[in-house]
Amino acid sequence: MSKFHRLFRRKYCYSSNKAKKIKDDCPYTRYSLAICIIVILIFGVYLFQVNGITKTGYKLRELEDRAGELKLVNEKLEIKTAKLQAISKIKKEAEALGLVEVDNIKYIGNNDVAIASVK
Amino acid sequence: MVSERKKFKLDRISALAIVIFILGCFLVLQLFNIQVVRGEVYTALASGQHKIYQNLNPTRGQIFIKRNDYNINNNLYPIATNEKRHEIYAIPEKITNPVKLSREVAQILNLNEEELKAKFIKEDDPYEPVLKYATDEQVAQVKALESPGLGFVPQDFRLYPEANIYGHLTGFLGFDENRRVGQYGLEGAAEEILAGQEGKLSLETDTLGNWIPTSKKDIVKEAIPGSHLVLTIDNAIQFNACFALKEGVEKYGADSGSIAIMDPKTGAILALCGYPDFDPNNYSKVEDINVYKNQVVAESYEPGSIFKPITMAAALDSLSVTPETTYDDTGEVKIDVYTLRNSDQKAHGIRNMIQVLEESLNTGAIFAMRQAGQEVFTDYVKKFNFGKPTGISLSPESPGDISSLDKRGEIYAATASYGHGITATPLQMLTAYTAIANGGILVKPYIIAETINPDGSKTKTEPKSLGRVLSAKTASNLSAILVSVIRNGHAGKAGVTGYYVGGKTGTALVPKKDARGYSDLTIHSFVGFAPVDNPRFLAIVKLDHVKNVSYAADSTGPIFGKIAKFILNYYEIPPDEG
Repeated sequence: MSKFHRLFRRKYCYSSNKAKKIKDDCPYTRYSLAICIIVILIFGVYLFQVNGITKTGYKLRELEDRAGELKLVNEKLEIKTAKLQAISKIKKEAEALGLVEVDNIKYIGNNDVAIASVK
Repeated sequence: MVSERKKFKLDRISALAIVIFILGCFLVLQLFNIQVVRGEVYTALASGQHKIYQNLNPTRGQIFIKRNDYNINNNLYPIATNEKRHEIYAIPEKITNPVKLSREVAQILNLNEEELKAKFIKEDDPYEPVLKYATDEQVAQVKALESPGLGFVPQDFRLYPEANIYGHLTGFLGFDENRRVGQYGLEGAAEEILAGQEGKLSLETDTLGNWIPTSKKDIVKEAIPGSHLVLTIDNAIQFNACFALKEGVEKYGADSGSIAIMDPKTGAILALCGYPDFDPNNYSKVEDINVYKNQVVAESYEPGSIFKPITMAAALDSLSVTPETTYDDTGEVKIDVYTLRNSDQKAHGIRNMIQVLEESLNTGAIFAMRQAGQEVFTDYVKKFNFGKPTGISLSPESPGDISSLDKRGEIYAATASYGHGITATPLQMLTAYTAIANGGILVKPYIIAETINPDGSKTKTEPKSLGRVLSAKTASNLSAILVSVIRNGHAGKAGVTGYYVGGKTGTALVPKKDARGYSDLTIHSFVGFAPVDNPRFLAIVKLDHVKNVSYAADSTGPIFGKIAKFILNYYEIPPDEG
């Protein structure tokens, strides 16, 4: 007979009248009860941890979605800026403002390099 | 008897326990498989089908130019970028009132109401496209109708903010069957760089084509986005050149025109324009698809007199002539059964090599070629890189044709000496002139300054020399002669007061298409650079089939002069004189 059977054998562990006798005659009952409690506790901790991780995971996903939305908004603004700063558009607005092209530029001074020495 | 019955009970319990144990092990193994081994697959699935779509299709790389006045993104202004838009589609089986909905949608989107009605009334139809690449404003207006029979799918739209000005440079994103591919310009030439790599997700499907999440054959590979390109183009010079070209084509009655401007020391392209141009945002709305071709690189032509400085360079550099060498111009040269004449049909008497270019004498070019010798002349033409593509990142590119120089018979070299019987693209002509402007060293033209890779690293294009073609002395002498061409010769209108500008005009006849000989049409060209002692730019202007004036000196010359004045002021280069 295996240990497994001995743990659950009724004849030894569940004699109806004498609790003390049960205790003395059934050390396996205590062990098995302890193992069950430990397993249940471990399972409980695991559930708690998984739940916490899942909650954090949802929060992370919300933040990722928000980051994605902001990135999209940023891209749209960049495109809007590029359209507004197209040089053909700027030229039209410059003409509307009455700005004229530069002509007849006069350069003041020359390109000579001045070198001074201190004695 | 009793002990046998008990024994029987214990065996059944044992068996049950074993079965439960086995089932438990199987459950644990399956959990491990789902959570650990294939966890990524289910994460991807849980993110929603849209996210899977994004992971599979790469974002196309953008094309930038540097603009110091653009204070976003490190002064990188996008001339080709991606805009998030939506496809609006109808689900006719969910539309309760197709007549009313088609009227409302047609009004909002400016579409044909009858065509929409024909789509919306199909009762068993789950999908009908309504509008591709709808803007956010259009989507918001359609969503406000709150119809369950309308759906929206995100789409990337290829946007070209500057439109026509950069059309020939960028090309456009077209279709090859059902796939989007770049065509013409940089979109075509740099397709592999810009496109990136698609990711892969493969799952088994059921008979209806639906994915089976628990299937075994699955691979997930993220898409790799395309690289970005930063060009050498200067936005102000590009705009000014394209505007001047458009004005010139219209003023001088040309069919088309092109301009290219380069830094002769590095080969960096500063501007590149063609007219007529097109808007790559609406590339399908053109009357003639030939407008897509970038004439600067795709179309070769007989260059005419702008080739004479190349002939003179060969003769000077081979020490066959000096600038003061003279010959007697009788107005014509007879070779075999052919008689070759000056363009003005006149004889000019004793002329030196400077006057050959000032007065653009065909007979003088033939003389210089003969002094150098046919073989030497042909060698120099090949050293100047004619007959080969320049390798610039624009498609398609024509290599030109100098095969006539390999034929026996002096007639071929004679006509080639003044730019006929051979063909070259405007970019090849420009590249050849870099040897004159750059102290004798030929440089390779390039347009991509930098590539920005998906990981953020940058690959810079270094200028490339194609070797010394002329001695520094020859280049210097020839540059001075080209200044004299503008100051004392025909090309006065190309000059800029106070500056030493060197250049040459060319009025080339156009060969007949279906017969031998030349037509009455002409192609006008001008190639020039300034300031001659320290050239900052080199430009070619070309007008095709000019009707309103007869010579390039009166058409492309003034266009060049206008652009040269702008660039000299833009670069704040003080005058060489006074």
